[in-house]
Amino acid sequence: MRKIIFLLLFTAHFAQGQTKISGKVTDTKGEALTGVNIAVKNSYDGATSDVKGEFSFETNEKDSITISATYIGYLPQEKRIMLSAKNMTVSFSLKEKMNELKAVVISAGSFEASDEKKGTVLKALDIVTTAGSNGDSYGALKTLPGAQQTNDREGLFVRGGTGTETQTFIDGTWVRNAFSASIPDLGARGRFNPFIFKGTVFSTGGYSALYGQALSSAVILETIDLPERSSANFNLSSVGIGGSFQQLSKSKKSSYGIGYNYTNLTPYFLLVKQNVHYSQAPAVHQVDLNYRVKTSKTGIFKFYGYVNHTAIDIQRDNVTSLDYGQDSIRYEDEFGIKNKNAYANFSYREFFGKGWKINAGACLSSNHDDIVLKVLNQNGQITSDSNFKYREDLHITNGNLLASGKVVLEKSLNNLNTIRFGGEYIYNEEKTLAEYVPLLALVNYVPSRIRENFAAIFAESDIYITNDIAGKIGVRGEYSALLGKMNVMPRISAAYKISRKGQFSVAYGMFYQKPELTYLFQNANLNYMRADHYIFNYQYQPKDRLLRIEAYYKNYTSLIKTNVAGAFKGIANTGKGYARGIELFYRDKKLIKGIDFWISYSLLDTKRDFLNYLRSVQPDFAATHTANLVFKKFWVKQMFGINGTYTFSTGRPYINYNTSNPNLPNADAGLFMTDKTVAYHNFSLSANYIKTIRKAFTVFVLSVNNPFGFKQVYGYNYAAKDLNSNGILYSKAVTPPARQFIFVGMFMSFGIDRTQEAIDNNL
Amino acid sequence: MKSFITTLFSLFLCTVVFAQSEQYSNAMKAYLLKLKDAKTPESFQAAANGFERIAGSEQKEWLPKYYAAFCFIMQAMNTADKDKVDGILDQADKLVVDALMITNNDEILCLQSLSASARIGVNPMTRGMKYGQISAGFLAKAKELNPDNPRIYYLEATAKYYTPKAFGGGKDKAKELFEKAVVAYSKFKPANELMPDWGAEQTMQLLEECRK
Repeated sequence: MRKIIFLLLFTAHFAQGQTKISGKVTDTKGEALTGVNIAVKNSYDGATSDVKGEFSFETNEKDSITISATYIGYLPQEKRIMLSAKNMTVSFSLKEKMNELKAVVISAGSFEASDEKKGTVLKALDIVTTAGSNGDSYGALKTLPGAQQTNDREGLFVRGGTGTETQTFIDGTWVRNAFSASIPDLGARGRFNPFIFKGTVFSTGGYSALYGQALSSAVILETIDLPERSSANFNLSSVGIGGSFQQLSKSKKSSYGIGYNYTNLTPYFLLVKQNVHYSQAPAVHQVDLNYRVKTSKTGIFKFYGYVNHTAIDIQRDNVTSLDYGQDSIRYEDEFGIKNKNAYANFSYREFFGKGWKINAGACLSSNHDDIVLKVLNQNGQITSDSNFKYREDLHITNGNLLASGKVVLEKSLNNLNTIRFGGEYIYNEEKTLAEYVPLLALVNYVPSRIRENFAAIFAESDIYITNDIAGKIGVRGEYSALLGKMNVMPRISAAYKISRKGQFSVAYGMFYQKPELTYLFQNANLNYMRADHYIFNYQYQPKDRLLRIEAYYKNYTSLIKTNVAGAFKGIANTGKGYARGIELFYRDKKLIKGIDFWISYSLLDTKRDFLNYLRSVQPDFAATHTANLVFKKFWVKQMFGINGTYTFSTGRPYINYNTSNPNLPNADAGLFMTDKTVAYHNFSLSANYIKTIRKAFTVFVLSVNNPFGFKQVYGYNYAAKDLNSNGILYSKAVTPPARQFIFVGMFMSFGIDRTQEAIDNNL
Repeated sequence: MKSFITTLFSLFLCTVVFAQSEQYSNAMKAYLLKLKDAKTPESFQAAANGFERIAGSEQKEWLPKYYAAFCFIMQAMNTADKDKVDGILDQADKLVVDALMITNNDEILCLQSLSASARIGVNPMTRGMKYGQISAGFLAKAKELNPDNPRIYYLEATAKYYTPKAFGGGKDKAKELFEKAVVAYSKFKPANELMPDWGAEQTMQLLEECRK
């Protein structure tokens, strides 16, 4: 017995011999890993691997031990060894964890602005701090490659596509009226305040199967979740006044907010002369509402909505009357619009167990336009000139109503692999009525009304083979009750990371879109228009820098043509075209200390034969070369910042009605659209200064668009008739209503430190 | 005979227990020295690894986890490659949460606050607001548990120090808080030599800066 006890004590206390364990840790590619924790299980023994990946330590353990190697971002590894010699060698080869942060991101065709995701080209704030964007969500996107400077028309023109080929989606659902009431030749602003979004994806092609009905491009916006604190805001500027407050509940589980903004450009137009006359300067009332509630630890329900009333009445030279060539008979075109718009978006997001997630959204919107078109004589009265018969007093009412719902279910499998599927349903009603109101009688044109029931189903899968190779395969099917036709389209993309900083990606996608309403109102027996995108992208992203090169080819088929002999009202899906190009984007935050800048360049080669075109030509909304330089500088100490944007694009073709008038039967097709406008230059500069006034963080903003007064010509309007019979139609350049635009504003924020955000509002 | 064996056995058990706790405190002290000397991200990582190894064997002790997390936060703060910072802090936060499972105390809450402020460094412009508030929230909780902890005031002061004046920070506001921290540090005595006792030196340094 005694012997046993002594033996026990002996082994426990005195039989301590040391073993030296050494080895090396690498990753699966054989590269040494530094800082790996090598530990003997159930003991303090171990070491950290050095720069060469090597380690060595001594242990007093006996017999067999378990050694583990753990390192951030890698799968841990354990090895069981017998301590059979004085010196032992153990080596580890660690496998990198599949990790969203490290995994390759498919970048073909898409620009993303987000603070939460890694490797995005822009941060959420960049959307608003870009000079010249004037608080418009689409303004900053126009400085990215792929976008055109088509500022005289509504919509975002991307890669040879028209403005209607770009569609906007908020929290997954399609937005019917993304742009504010527009006036011919003056373009339109985006309706949504950029501050309500935390993420923006600008896809210039090859986008996901979750979205459809946009031939060229998708702008995918994600609204913010609960605010961090309650706050109140007030703003006063050269264009209006507004205020809002946001209340976060005590439990921080829900919040609501309400805001009102009134914009009126009357005082500004009194001070700064415009080259057009406004009998009603743009006046906008908008009330915003939001409610957000956390439905569980992981779930959130969000509501955002607004009602908006806009009124504008503008008078410009009637180009046809100028053809008289007599100062005594110069008429004016009056264009007046009253727009009522309401929008409500509901979204719900929740994670269930076992990797399931749901994203559901619903949207209700309504839009009503009251438009008057008048030709006024010198005395401001409706002209009685018979040359303007049926054009001198038109009243048009347009309206649309939309209700939609969308559900996306997502299942995360192992290693980032994900399957997504779901469906959407859209009901919309569109109507238009034109009334001719001459002096005596009233003529009603037959009202047009369209009811559409549209449904889509889609499925998509993210496939990660390793952190370095990933693919996305999707398919989308749609049915339009209006067209009575369905379609099925595949979308495929893949990315390969060639080094820590560089990666290639490719994308192919098929896209369908219904013809524009103007044509559907006249001829409902039309088919989908189609585009096929092929995209190749290379991205190199060292610290604080980013270089992107993208080449693409886009093929258009079954576009709408409006001069087809034999077709009902001449409208048929016989148009076609292509667009191809190379685009560059370079952003650098390091080259010049304290200055963040980006350069973008787009080369666009596109031709299409659509609408009333006489042959396949470069369309009048496309410029061959477009370049942007954007820079930002902020002095933290002085709390003062300057942002600037310079934009250049080569001239756009336009229809010269004197050499080749598509409305005439014997027009010379060879001369069609061979004229081009002068090149476009624009420079915008904004300065902002932050100061705390009592308890309010206050931001002062001054921004000037086109301070150097570059002459900007978007195209030419021609007289409809040769009134002086000299064989030449009078033409007038389409230009902005003033060379410069100046904005001065003050934004105050109470209760919450929103300084940074406020700086950027309306830059 | 029987009593002899019992005595011997209990003696044996005692030695084992005693040896173990001595081994623990010696190991902790060794790595605390390493932590004290650490300046580079690599040396903080090595110290963190050491504490993690101890934590692996001493599942019931909160201090090894606490110090491992502290070392990771220091490593994150000293890492130049901003892309790596979040991964390191995730590791630190995991350890902090593990430590909180063992005991809920003001020191761990201070560490949580420190970790949140470290995340601001990745992109102060976009993260300042969010993580600044999270960080302050942890300090408020710590204050409820123990208003005498000097690290609360040191961390509050540091946050103010690095926040630009127009954003509600600045040296003047920081100075008041650093002075408060100095008073708290003068009254503070760690319960034993393994307990957290950091921040006093930095307080003095930054207070000097504020006075300039």
